[in-house]
Amino acid sequence: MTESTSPSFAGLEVGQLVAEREVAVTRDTLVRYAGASGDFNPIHYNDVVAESVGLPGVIAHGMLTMGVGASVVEEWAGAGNVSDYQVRFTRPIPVPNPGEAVVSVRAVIGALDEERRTARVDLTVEHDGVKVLGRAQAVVDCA
Amino acid sequence: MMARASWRLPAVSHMASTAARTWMWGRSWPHVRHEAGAEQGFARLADVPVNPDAVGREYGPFEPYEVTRVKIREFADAVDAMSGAHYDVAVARAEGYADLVAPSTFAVIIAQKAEFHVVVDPEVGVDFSKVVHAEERFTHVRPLVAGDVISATIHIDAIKQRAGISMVTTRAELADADGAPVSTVVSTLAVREDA
Repeated sequence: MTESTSPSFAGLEVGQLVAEREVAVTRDTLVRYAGASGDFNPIHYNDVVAESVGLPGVIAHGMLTMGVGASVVEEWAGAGNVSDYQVRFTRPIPVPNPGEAVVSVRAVIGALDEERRTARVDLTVEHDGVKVLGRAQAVVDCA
Repeated sequence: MMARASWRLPAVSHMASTAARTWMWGRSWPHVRHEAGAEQGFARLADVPVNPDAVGREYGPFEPYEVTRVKIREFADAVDAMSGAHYDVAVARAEGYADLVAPSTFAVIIAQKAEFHVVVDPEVGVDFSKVVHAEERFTHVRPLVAGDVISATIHIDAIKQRAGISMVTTRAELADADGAPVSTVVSTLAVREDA
């Protein structure tokens, strides 16, 4: 790594807020993610299909929400420095048309491993004031 | 037989490759095909619950996936990833990488292609109209970079059944052209058993 972007381990503290962002998710966002990821499940773009399987309407891809969470962590951690990332999908995010669903992401240091020089970043991802991801944790390799 | 040693279920693999092509073209997902196909006599998936004996099955490796700069940029843009190392080769190289760096959930593209072989295997019995994505985990040995040629195998690690729901956990193992492990992607689908 000529100019490693890994964050410095020294000085990190449990509870420290490292990054946060609000993202407005629209139908356009979903179409872009569908194309980028290859996930063309129609519940993410077709209201009729979404309602036929018991959803209130089109919902965001869980993996889009997870991916946005990673982007917020990487804004602090640098590209390529997340070695482990897990989430539980606890609530769907309905995306209106027209309109937008605002998703807020807060990334806080949850634990520090001095031996491995890694930081566990805990994400709080909410829509409408309700958590949509559970146990959302990213492990970041630090310098 | 020798030539197909890595394909434990050759008949299913053939079927899956056809379905996966349809999927990649974005024309239909399994449940849509199921609904459309019901009149044509393809409705059997709906009546068969997930088969717990499918634990331990593995599929692949499949045709390797080539990681490109174009796809990394497209994916990074779609997930609001802002690092220059996803977009600008000079930035990525200055950070010590061989080429553009993929965002950390990019591996889902490769993993979901592999998972699809599980979803369409009639002997596993997943009805995709009753599937909800429950959990996902990525463990990376190193980040994916443009130019990587990645092979995947997919394993059914667990099927837990309780109160009308089957939790199906798959594990995709991604390796580079040299066979070195790159990423492990564990995904759990919740499949409702009710009618």
